[in-house]
Amino acid sequence: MLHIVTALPCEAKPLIKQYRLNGRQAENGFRIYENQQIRLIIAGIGKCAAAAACAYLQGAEPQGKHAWLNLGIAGHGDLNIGEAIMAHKVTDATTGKNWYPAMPFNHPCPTATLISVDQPQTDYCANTAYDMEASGFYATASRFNSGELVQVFKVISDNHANSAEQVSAQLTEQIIAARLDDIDALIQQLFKLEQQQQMSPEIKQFQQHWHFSVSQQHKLQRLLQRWLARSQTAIKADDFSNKKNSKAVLQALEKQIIALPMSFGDK
Amino acid sequence: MIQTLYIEQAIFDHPRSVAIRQRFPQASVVTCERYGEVFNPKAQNFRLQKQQPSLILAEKFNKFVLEAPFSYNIGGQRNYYFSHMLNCIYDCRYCFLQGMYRSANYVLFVNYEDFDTAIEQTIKESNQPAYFFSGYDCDSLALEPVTGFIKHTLPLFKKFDNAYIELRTKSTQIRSLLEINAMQNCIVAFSLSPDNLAAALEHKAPSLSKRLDALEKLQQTGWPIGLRFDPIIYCDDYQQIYDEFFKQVFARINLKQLHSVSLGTFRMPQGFYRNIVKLYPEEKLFAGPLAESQPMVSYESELEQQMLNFCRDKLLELIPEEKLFICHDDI
Ligand code: SF4
Repeated sequence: MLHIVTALPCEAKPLIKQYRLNGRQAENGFRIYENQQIRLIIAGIGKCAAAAACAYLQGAEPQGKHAWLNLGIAGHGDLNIGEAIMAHKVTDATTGKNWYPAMPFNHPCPTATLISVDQPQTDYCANTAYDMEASGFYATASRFNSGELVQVFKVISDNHANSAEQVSAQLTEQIIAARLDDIDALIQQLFKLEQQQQMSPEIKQFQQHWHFSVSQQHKLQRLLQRWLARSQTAIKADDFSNKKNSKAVLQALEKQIIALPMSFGDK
Repeated sequence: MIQTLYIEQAIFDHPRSVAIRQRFPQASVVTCERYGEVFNPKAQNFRLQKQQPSLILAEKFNKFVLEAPFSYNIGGQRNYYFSHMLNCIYDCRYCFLQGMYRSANYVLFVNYEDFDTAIEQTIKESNQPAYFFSGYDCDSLALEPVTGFIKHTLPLFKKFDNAYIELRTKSTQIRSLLEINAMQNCIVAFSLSPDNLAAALEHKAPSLSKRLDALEKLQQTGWPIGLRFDPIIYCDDYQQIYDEFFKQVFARINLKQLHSVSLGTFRMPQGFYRNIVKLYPEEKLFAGPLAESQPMVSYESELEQQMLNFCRDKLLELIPEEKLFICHDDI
């Protein structure tokens, strides 16, 4: 699952439409839209709101390992309205703390330093983007998954020539909609990375048949991984149906693994 | 190749930083105070980063030269290592770096002159020949075209005949060595594995035949050669595989140029091993007959001994005993 955090409804709207996200009813505190793969939350403006939204989503599923994306608008000293950036460095203007999102994939757009401020910015340093959420988002979301799966994507809404006061909801929606191709390219990359983190599904089958203690679950997980590595074929819990308890299953599984061939391709 | 270059602010204009920036004009350049801000955070996944690592340019302030672990021994009593780089462009599944670091990004320390000073001081203080190992936290030669570190450092060793340097590598980047006269106190040590194991486990590294070609070129130009058969990996037909492999390698070796051969089976401190298994749970290497609960994870002791004895005996049919060094219990 990819969790997308936006500050404003107008930032979220193009995504809700593009990915056919359905609004969740009777949600307390935040508006959430989702489909099978994406859950989007409208956090409100500011770092605290972004951090709270991340915690809210994770709290609903504390064990979950999700990809995270903060998507919204930002100001920039040099870029034109409508250009997009991914943050390669997020700085919190108040604390001076930095985060460096690793991007082990081809970026769909240029990258930039992004400073999260408390008030809309009117002075822009060269080569730097400004927003009001990313540091709160990054500090919180990176507690829940590794940094490669926590990314920040911003579309430039204001610059030296066009101040932040001139940014309307309509403009925001337009410029984000115009970047949907880049956003989708990034989302697909995040899905790919996220898939690589998934655990072997067979463990659930075994857990349905027998009761495993926590330490036995770890052992079972490791044995299933070893089985898969050596046999290259899936294993069925049914094959152990004559085993009375979890201990017997683990012993039988270990014995079978030892008997499997151990070779590394052709000579 | 490099999409993002992180550079410590203090060395942003260092001539080596400037040269490397110019080499990767397309890379995003990101400044940081200290490289640890990028390299050390907990929330990183080595496996994911390995798909496209970035390069971090940094300055090192201390611990330039350290005492080498026990198993780094090719005949000397005083063994040291230094790491001008952390991490490696290759991706060997048995590499302990994956378990030691959270980040797969490469770190290059650009203040080579400070390494020189520390090496020189260590040599002068040593009352016995000093051996320096350069390929501990990286491959010694793989990124040489970018770093130029070996080209910079070898002249220092020319000044001392009681100091040796080992360049441990799987690389074919030997041009900077071929351009100069062979040095008898510089051992170019190739890490070699049988073809099928190299293909399965030494991802992104040159094939065995390419490594042997590079080795042969160096041998012909007079460089002392080392052979590193470490780690030996278990598979059902390991005896046949390693027997054929040793014959294949030694068909290319001129024994007069052979400095040393070292041999060790797969082993890894348990903490690193656990980290790596989390990253690569589906890896066959870790599904083998390993004693996972030992502080130093290795093959079950009887098997380990059998493997070592077998390989040792086969090697002693090919080389004199004084050239063979067995590595165990340490990395
Ligand atoms: S070549 Fe050496 S340093 Fe590089 S990945 Fe392989 S084992 Fe590790």
